Amino acid sequence: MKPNKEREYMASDYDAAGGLLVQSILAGDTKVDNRERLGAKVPIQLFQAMRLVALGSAMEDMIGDGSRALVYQAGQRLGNVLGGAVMPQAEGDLDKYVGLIQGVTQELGIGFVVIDKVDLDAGEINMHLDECVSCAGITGMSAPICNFEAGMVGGLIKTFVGRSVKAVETRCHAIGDKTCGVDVKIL
Amino acid sequence: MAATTVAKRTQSIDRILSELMSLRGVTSAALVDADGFVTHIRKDFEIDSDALGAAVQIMFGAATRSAQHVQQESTNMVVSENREGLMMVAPLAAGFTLALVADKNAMLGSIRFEVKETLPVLSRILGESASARG
Ligand SMILES: [Zn+2]
Repeated sequence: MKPNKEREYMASDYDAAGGLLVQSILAGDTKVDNRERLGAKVPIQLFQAMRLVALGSAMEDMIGDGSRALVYQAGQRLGNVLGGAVMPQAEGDLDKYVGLIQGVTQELGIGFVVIDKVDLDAGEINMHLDECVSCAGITGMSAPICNFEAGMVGGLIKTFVGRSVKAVETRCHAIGDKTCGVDVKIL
Repeated sequence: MAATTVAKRTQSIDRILSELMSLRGVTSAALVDADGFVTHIRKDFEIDSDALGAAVQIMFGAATRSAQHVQQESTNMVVSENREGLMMVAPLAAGFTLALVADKNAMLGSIRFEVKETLPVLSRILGESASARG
């Protein structure tokens, strides 16, 4: 079969760009090349436009209910990448791992990760994300909308435990809850 | 849902997937939930089930949307004929889909017939468990 050169090229470029991004995140870079005047930070509304329009309603328009899986898996991929990057520093210790993740998510303005319950024997981890970047300021929704973040949490836990997990957003600021809760089941 | 009910449901689903696997050429049969998770699978070869589950839901979602664009309403089945075989995806209750993978020996007509017979049975099991979860 003739390989699709263009597709392979795009995939490897995104992978390479993602690698650079993770390095920059872990290094805590506050300066970014080619952003001399605008700086490294962008308004939360831009992130929400990317998340809720580009990776939300636009996806729904194109692939309908398939967007739920796509958004979750996209979040899971990000969780895998971030988790994989801090794993060596955690030295297999869950508390250390969570501490590192809390640092990164706070630094990036994703939100404040709080662990509510860890029961590895039962294969359950429950946590919540205060000031969640995706749904801050969004109200009146009919169901939780932070499927991307649920996927990200799933990816982070999956990376640590080395097994498949399923994360579900059980509470969401966008439906009137005070915080976004995510329950993780290790499969 | 009580543990015995879950176990019974899993048993019923596994039995149905095994029956589908006994069809000529079928190499994998899986149930995928709305988030793209493979919840039950029977397979003859190694599969990255996370990637497969998401791809199956995206494939079915894109076909459904395409059908709506041409006013063909709901999608009952999506078949992808590939160089080395075929894939068939069909919707079930509660956002689940059934995905079948078959090799070149498969007979599309008989697989399609069996899948159509099986869908209501699987949907009933999944529908019951969805309403039990509330
Ligand atoms: Zn939320």
